[in-house]
Amino acid sequence: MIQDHLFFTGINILLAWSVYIILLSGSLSFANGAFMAIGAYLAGVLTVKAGLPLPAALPIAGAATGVLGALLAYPALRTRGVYLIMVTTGITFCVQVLLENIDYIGGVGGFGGMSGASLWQVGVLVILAGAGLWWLSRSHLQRLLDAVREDDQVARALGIDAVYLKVVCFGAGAALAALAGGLFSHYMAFVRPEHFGVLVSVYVVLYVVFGGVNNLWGALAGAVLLTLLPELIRGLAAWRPLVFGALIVILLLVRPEGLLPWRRTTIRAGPGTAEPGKRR
Amino acid sequence: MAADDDTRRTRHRGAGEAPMNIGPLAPAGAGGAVLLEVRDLVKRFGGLQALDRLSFEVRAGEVLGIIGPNGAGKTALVNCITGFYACDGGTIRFRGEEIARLPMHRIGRLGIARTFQNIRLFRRMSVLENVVAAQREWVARPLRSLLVRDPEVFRRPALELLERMRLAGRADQPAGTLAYGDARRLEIARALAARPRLLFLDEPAAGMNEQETEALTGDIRLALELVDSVVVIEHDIELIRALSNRIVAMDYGRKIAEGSAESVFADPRVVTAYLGTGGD
Repeated sequence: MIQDHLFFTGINILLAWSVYIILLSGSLSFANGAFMAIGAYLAGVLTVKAGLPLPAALPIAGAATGVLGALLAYPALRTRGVYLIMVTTGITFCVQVLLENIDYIGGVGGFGGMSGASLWQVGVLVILAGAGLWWLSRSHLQRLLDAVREDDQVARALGIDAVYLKVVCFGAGAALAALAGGLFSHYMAFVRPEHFGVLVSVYVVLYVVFGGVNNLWGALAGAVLLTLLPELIRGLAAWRPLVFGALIVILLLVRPEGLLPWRRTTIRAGPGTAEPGKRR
Repeated sequence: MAADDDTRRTRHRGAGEAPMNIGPLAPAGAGGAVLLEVRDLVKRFGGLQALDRLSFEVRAGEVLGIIGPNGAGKTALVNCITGFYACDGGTIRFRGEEIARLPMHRIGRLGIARTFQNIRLFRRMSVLENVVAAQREWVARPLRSLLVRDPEVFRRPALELLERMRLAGRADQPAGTLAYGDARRLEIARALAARPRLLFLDEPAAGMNEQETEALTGDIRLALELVDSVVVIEHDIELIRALSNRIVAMDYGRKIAEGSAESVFADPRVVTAYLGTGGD
């Protein structure tokens, strides 16, 4: 039971980070539930139908979904703001309907037979993804991405290929969501298209908004709190969505920038003036 | 890294072209090689002809002033040259290379930088980060910049630029908190970090009083030492007079006069464009 909660918390952390990666370049994606679904089914097909072991199927599913995400991003990123949200939401709807209509993977009835995912695997993936994001946050690339997120036109005028960076981030986010999906389906043993409805995409974005969009710990905190809090108040099980929604509303009223809003300054004027503990 | 950068600069040079003077500005009036050549440039917004077959050139080593009443098409011109707008006709050659249809970031990397009439800083990044993000060495290699974590690589050149623009004391402050004049100078410092050959200043003195404009004139002189040529778009006659070797006057998207400050300001068409005809 505890193990289940920890497993799903880990999956949700990975999904929150998959949204965070895309957000690094300034795009808000409501398509990550779809990328999770594609990863879940693709990894499932590779293990159940092609007989691959899970550790081999997972990276393949992740890479393939990453490429697909990048391909989708190229036209999708011609839109921005509210329109990008609509396009990415549309991707989620499309993928769900697509999965429902492919008989090879069970259609509406669902697809089963997967096994082999365990808690330690999701733990390893969380640590790897976290380490990668931590490294990124201290590299020069973080500043280039910050510039793109702040004003992509000005970034481009300075010579930064903002479109390329956005596409790369979209692909990376899709790949991470697919890895989470692959582990999810092999833990559940059976998945149906309705597991990956648009609500999943919305929830995952809310984790990040709840926790804060400016650093990787915000997404982590949002995913952990919003996965576990509703479980702690199980007596109110029927009221879960209400509690969830109320939490979001209250937080956005009190702390509109999320739980952990600080952004780490990546470089300071001199070693003498650096104050490692100080953040804003 | 310096050698690397030199080869990158050389690569864009036409084969038979004479080497360009990268040193301090040539004395006033010196006619260097043609750096930028604009021919018959056309830009329409619906029925409005913002640029009407406009032609002019910028030579290496000069400061060209562009004047004209509001709506004359000055900013549209900068936007076309720097790739913010797609132009509807004509050619733009920068150091012999046709750039009118290049994406914005390619134009930036070739060596054209700009500031904005309505200041567009990366407001949530620090002053130092604004400059560092634009540094030429890394804008074209975003994924490799993931491996660069040593801040010393960036700190000294960025601080030198901030020193030059009298901003070193504010290096660690968020750019969004800068006073107006400081923000103007940070835009110039950021543009210089991209190490352009040609720098466009779009109304740098807009909204400044006389003393501020005078101080800015000195700051721009310091910036001139780092680039081949500058184009200043400005309403402030004194600033234009103090800085430019040559002036182009525009009205209704057309060039109405060109030459030294004395001849252009004495030109009846320029006087009419600014003050209206005597009979009105």
